[in-house]
Amino acid sequence: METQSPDRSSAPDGVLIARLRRGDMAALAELYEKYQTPIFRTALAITRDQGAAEDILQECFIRLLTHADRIRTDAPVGPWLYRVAINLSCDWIHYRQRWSNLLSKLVGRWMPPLRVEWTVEEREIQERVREAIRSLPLPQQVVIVLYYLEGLSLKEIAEILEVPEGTVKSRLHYGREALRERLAEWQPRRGVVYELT
Amino acid sequence: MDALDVLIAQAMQARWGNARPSSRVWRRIARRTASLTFSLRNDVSTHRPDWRPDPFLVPFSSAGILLLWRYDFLLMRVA
Repeated sequence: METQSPDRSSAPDGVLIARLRRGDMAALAELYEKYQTPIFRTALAITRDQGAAEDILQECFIRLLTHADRIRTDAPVGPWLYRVAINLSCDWIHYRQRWSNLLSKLVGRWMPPLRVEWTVEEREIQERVREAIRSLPLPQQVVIVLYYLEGLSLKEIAEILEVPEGTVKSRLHYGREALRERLAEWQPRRGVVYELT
Repeated sequence: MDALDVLIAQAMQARWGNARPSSRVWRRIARRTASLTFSLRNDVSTHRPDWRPDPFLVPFSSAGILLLWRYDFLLMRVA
């Protein structure tokens, strides 16, 4: 078992998967080196939790090892890894939501609702955008992360999510429109005009 | 690509564009794969066609085991 850090050689994914099937752990290290950053970044952008994103990254590569016999060798393994990471991230979000709903109900019984006054400055606009993205339905969030953060095409996203390209386009469209509306809601109150057309 | 697209892309890149996992993730993967491959190999070994039970655990041939099992028959015949 190779336990040192992965090196930077880059064989085609299919060759690495074939080696992995034969128990060559150096192949796993090479795949990790190649895909760790985009997979981690995607999980982090969806979960917004460093620890959860690292756990998801770890689980993706464990599954790559245990499912190596079923993974295609004639195509890049990136879409498969993205798909696993997204599914795990969505599971994590749902699990956390169940707990946070339960907790907020419990807290709500004993505490008056908090009134948060945001001191919004122009430099905080990016945080507002990220918060607005978080308020979107999860399927729209996922498409936005893959499109804007990972820079993937609609076709690539459709392949990862295993949905028609039109579905991706639709999610992106409705996500953008929702963001436009939510960002427009608070801009006039701040006296700052952002052109979002 | 309009201003909203730029705004979304900037907001995401600014926060997560340079995000990297810590090195401990790979160490954890290495540890888990080591234990996983060890257990997988052990499981697979028992499915090989030439696999036989450890002779220390069963120190008799199959005929010997049958004989031991039905030793009462032998006793009856001798008696």
